[in-house]
Formats: sequence, structure tokens, C-alpha cells
Amino acid sequence: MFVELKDVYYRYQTGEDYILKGINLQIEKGEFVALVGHTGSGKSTLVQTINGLLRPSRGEVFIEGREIGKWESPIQVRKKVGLVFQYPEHQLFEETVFKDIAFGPKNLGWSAQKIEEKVRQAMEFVQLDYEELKERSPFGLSGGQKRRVAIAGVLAMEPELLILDEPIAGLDPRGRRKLLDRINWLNEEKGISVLFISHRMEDAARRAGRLLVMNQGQIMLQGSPQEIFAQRDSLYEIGLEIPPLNEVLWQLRQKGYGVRTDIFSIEDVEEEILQHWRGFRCSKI
Amino acid sequence: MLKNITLGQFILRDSLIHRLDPRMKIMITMLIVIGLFFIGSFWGFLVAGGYILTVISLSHLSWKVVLRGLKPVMFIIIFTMVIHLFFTRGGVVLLEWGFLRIESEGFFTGLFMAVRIMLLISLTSLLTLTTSPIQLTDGLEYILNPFRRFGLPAHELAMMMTIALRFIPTLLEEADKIMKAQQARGADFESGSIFRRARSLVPLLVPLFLSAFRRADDLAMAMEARCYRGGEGRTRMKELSMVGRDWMALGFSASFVLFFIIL
Amino acid sequence: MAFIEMQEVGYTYKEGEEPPVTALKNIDLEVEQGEMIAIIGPNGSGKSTLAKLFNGLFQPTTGRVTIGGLDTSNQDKIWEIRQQVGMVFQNPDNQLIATMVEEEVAFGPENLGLPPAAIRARVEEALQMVGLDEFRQAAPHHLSGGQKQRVAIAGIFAMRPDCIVFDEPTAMLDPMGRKEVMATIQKLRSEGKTIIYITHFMEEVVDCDRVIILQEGEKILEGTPQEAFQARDLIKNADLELPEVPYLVYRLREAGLQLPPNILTPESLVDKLCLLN
Repeated sequence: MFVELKDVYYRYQTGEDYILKGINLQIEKGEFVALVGHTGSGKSTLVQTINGLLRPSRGEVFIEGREIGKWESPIQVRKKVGLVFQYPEHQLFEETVFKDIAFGPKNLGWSAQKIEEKVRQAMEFVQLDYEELKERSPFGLSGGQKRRVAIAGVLAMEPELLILDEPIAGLDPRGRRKLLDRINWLNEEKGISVLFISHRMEDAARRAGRLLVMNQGQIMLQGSPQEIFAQRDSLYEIGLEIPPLNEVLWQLRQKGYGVRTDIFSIEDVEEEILQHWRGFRCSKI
Repeated sequence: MLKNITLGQFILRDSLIHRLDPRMKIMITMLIVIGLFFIGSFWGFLVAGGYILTVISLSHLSWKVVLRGLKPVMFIIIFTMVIHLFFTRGGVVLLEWGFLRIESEGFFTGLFMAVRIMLLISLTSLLTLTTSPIQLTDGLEYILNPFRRFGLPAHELAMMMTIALRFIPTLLEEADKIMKAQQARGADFESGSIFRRARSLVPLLVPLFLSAFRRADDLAMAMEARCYRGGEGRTRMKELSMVGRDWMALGFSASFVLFFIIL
Repeated sequence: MAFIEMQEVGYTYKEGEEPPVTALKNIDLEVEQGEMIAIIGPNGSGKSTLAKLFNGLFQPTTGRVTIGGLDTSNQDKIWEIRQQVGMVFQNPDNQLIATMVEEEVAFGPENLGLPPAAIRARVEEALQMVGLDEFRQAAPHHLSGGQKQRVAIAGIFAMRPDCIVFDEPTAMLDPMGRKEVMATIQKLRSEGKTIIYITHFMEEVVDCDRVIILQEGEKILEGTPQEAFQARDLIKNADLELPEVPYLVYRLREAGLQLPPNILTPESLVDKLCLLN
């Protein structure tokens, strides 16, 4: 087990309400997990306990079987678990793209040669041209590029688990799609485990193998997208919606059609509807 | 966490002192402060202390809260006292020990000084404890307004204070976030020499300044879009007006000042 | 003459020694009173620049913009224009000025120089309109993103503008905040306000009267949402994305299913599919 949280409670100060209330969670190597839930449900707090930025008020967090406090230093944990915050481009500070991405590796005390290699690799991971951009100021780049520089800054530390808090917020549709594709690629091709927080159910459904639904500091549901979206009504109760295409399938089912509801890609949904309405197609020549 | 910070130290209570016009509170505070400098006798300080205790009880605040305001300046108070104690000469020798000598003049000046600072601080914290930052800003704007003809930008100063009050929590929250983000990349803000620690602030301060400038830009645009063009021709929803109790408070305070100066 | 008119409007950014960047080219646009218009385009298409032309925050480098017959380049009338055309921006944190909700809403009317009692009445009315009257004493930084945007809307509403321009007001909000803001906008619309809504999410323009798509500073489409959603190739080329349901309908129609093209919501698709049976 790569990450394990055992009965984690968190609050800022004694006397205040708990923001996390008894979280039990396990993440395996190579998994792609999506974390959904609306603002204030504790998502951002939860991910900060996983890399030791916040220490649980009660309960324990284990990375590779070792309790977080028992690692030699916090930086060891942060190298294993990379955390990309919301709007990460707002944390850029160096004069050049290279220096900014090298910040993490430098803190790890790596050699100049290793640092260069890792920066180069991280930039390739997020599809930024190393030679063209390394000497440029990060502040002169486009919004989408800045965000990728910031993500590369975390990837350069070679994390085994990459946590992203709303990585697509503020991007336009194309930027969104490209970034999510790349995250999928990192997971599939490079074997990096991913935990991403998302507001968009359709992204969560299509990208992740497992979904966690948080509500009021607890993990209310977890399972495959199929299992989660089968619980449409409980999701509605806590103010979450299922993806629009699944809403179509679900409503068709309510009307007595025997369509499947456990599919998420537009191709599959199209196929499913066509199968049931085959008789009503006009022959297209 | 950071969301819960309160600015200044305002504590909301339903009291006579809270309801007083902020302009009057500021003016009375100034009056008493000036008065405190003219007190020359032990009895004067006693009366002034009595005045402050009266205000505290009228404001429905606990005296502990007011005492807490003294904590940060305790060092200065003790320091002033010690300096006077040992270095002000005059009067009879009270104590002699090796090269240290305490004379009566030093003792009394030191004591008076300490009491004076304590009264000053309690008084000004009473002002900020019973007046919200918004009221304070409004009050200052009104008071400074007559000085506009001498080129004092009263409205602009007040607007600056308002914006600062509005954005301090936002920027604190942002600082916390940036700090965590850099820590996630292995930044260490806590250990090392002073020089190292100062350097480690760069990854925090650069993004924070950039963000502040970005926000300032946006805000200027938003204010312009809402027809803001300085104080000229601008009116206020909440106009301040002095009522009977304000003048009574002034009268009461003024007679106290006279009293403790004479004593 | 239409309420808002743009004639051959262009805008070029010139900054220091860097080469000038043309953000808008040749935009013609007419908006009638009470209309709701969506302007949509990807990042860098010039839509935010266009937004700032509506109330004279920016002056067009070529062409002219008139609001109710007033030219926005007329500096004598600029405050009148800004009172008529209000603006809500993207970042909820960066457009609130005061430390208390009611003071925030009062800010605009105060700038207009209204008497205190009138300001008070407008503030109450505006806070009720956005449903935040219970929060009048709250500090803005204690509110949620959606609530902050509603406070911003109330602040504009209290100036009694005829038109409100929304520059990506939901881009930084969660789905709940987005819904709150969209509902508030619909309410403004039902009160007869002219709405100009700028976004890069096509799913948000479903209810508009008219959609304008921008690409690289040029208007490439103007029509009803239905018309816009059918221009699939154009949308794709402009780096936009059809919302899921219209895209599914498009594909089903391509596959030969006899569905009408103007289906935008899950409910209407389900209804139409049932009708086929």
C-alpha cells in the first residue's frame, strides 16, 4: 500500500469543529483516483495531510507503510508525494523557467547534472520545449504554459504520487483537455499514481479508475465511477450531479427503457442509444 | 484558520462607549493623551487611572482584555523605568549598592513614566477595542477633512485604509497558500541562519507581491467601472452625526482632564 | 438606433517596445435593450478586451462604440455611460472594496453622489435582489465565492444600470457558486436588464438570446444558441467545445437518428427520444 490514512481527524485548533472526521483511505501504486465534493467538504485539507503539510489532530498517515512523522525529514515525504495547488502558476517566482522548475530538485540537494536531467524530463512530461523555454521568464508565458511550468516544478522531484487540486480551473476547453490527457499519460506511461480533485463529474468519470466522494469532512462514497454514479440520488442530496450524459441514460431508464447506465464516453452512450433506437434511423446513404 | 482572524482588536459589545461617535472618541482620546503629559502628581495619575477604569466598566469589556494590550509594550515600560531608576539623579539617595545608586528623583520619574505609558496604551487600546476599523477610518476621514485645504488627502488616506483592511485577510490567506505550495516543493522556511532564512523568503515574497499588484490592477479597474473618481461629489450612506451623549462624553472627559492636571 | 452599437471596432495593445498585439479586429455589434447576449471564445480570443469596451474602460483603437447614443470616447459623458453599463469581473476577491457587505453595495451609489437615505434604500433593494440581505453586516472574506459574486452583482444593481456586462463571472467558482450566479443573472434578465455574458463555457450560453463567437479577435459567428451549437466544425476550429448533450445529439443525427437539431438539455433529449418511439 503506497498511501494509507487511518481514522484521520483534523482541525486547526482545539475547540474548533473538525474539518476531517475519521478519514480512512488507501491508495495503491499506479492508481488514478478522483476526489469530488463541493467547496468546504474538506478535499483540500485531506490532500494536505497526505504530504505532511498538515499533521492530523488524530489518526495516522502512512506513506509506504511508514508513519509520516517517522521519516527522517518532511522533504522525504514531499518528494514521494507531489502536491500541485489550485492555480499553481501563482507560485512561480524565479527569473527563468529552468530555475523555477529546478527549485524542488535543488531543495532535495541533487547534483547540477541530475537537476538538469530532471528539469528537462519534467518539461517533456508537460509538453514544454526545453531548449526554447528554459531561459525565458515564466511570467512572460501564456496562462496555460505557466500552469504547466508550475506542474513541471513538482514533477521534477519525481514524485510517485501526484496530487492535483483542481488542475483545470480557469483553463479554456482546449487547455483543459490537453492537460487532462497529459495527466492520464503520466499515469499510464510513466506509472505515476494520481489523485486529482475535480468539480467536473464527467472528467472524474472518464479519467479515474476510482472515485472518492467527500461530504462534510467524511468520505461518503468510494468506488468505481460505475458504482458511484449508480447512486445518483444520494449524490443529489449532497448537491452533486452526475455527468449530463449519464443523466440522459438515467432518465431514459426512469421512463422504462432498458439502457445501460454504467458507461461514460460519448461513443459508448451514442452506441447504447442507437442500439435501442435502431428501428428509427432513416437509412443514410 | 486565517479566515477567522479579526483585524485590529475590535470587540463588539452593546455599550455606551461603543455607540459614541467615532470622531468624538478619537478627539477625546487625543485630549486625554495630551492631558496625561501634563500630570505632575501622584494624585493626578490616580484620578486618570480612575477615569480609565470607569470607561472600561462602561464599555462592558473585561479589564483583562485591556491589560492584554499592555503585554507587547511591557519591555519598553520596564526599560524606561530601569533607565530612570539608575540614571536620573537628584533628591535623596534611596539605595546604594556598589556602583549602582538609586536616588528619589529617578525613582519617581521612572514610576511616573511607567504609569504614564501604561495609561496611554490602555487608553488607545480602549479606542480600538470599542471602535470597528470601518468606524475608525470614517471618523479619521471626517476629522482630517478640514485639513484638505492645506493639501492633506483626507479622503484618499481613508480609502487606502479601507482597502488595506479589506485586503489584509485576503493576502494573509494567499501567503499561507504560497508558503504551503513552496513547502510542497521542499522549501524550508524555518531552519538555518538568519541570512538563509531571509533568502528562503524570496519564493514567498515574489509571488505575494506579484499577486498584490495583480489585485491592485483589477481593483482599480473595478472601482473605475463603478464610477469612482475620488472624494469629489461622493456621498456616504452612513453619515456620522453627533448626538447628546457625544457632547456629554466630551464634557465629562474634559472636566476629568482639568481635574487631573490641576492635582 | 440600437441601445449598444459597435462599428468596425478594433483594439491594439501597445506596451513599451514590444510589438503591438491586435486583440480585436472589425467587430460590428448591435444590442437591443433587454437582450441577453453571450460572447464566447477561448483564452486569447479578445473577449475580455471586448468587455472593457462596453463602458469605456478601454477606448477602441479604431471604430466607435455608442451606448444609448453616447460615444464612449466622450470623456464628459463617461460617468453617465458607466452608470448605465455596469460590470462584474472574473475574480470575486479583486472587485470588492469595502470590509462590510452593505458598505460594498453602497460604494457605487455613493460615487453617484446620492443622498444617504436613497443609498440605504437602494442597498436594501439590491441585497434582497441577490438574496443576501441577511449578510449585510458580514465581511466579504467570510463569504463563499458565489456569494462574493452576488455581492458584486448587488453593488452594480444598486447603481441602476440598464445593462450589465459579465466578464467570465463563473470561471473561478465551483458548480454551486456557478448555479447561484447564473440564477441571479436570469433574475436580472427578468427585470429587463440588458445582459452581456462573456464565457468560454458553451453550456452556459444555452439560455441566451444570441451568441457571438470570437476567434483571434474576430467575430466568426453570430446567431441563436441553437444555430451556434450546430456549427460544430466552426466551434471545433475555434478551440471551443460543444456541451455534452448537444454534442451527443449532433452525433446521433449524424448516425441517422431523426432528432431535431435544437436539443440542449438532458430532459429535452429524453423527451424527443421518447417521441420517436
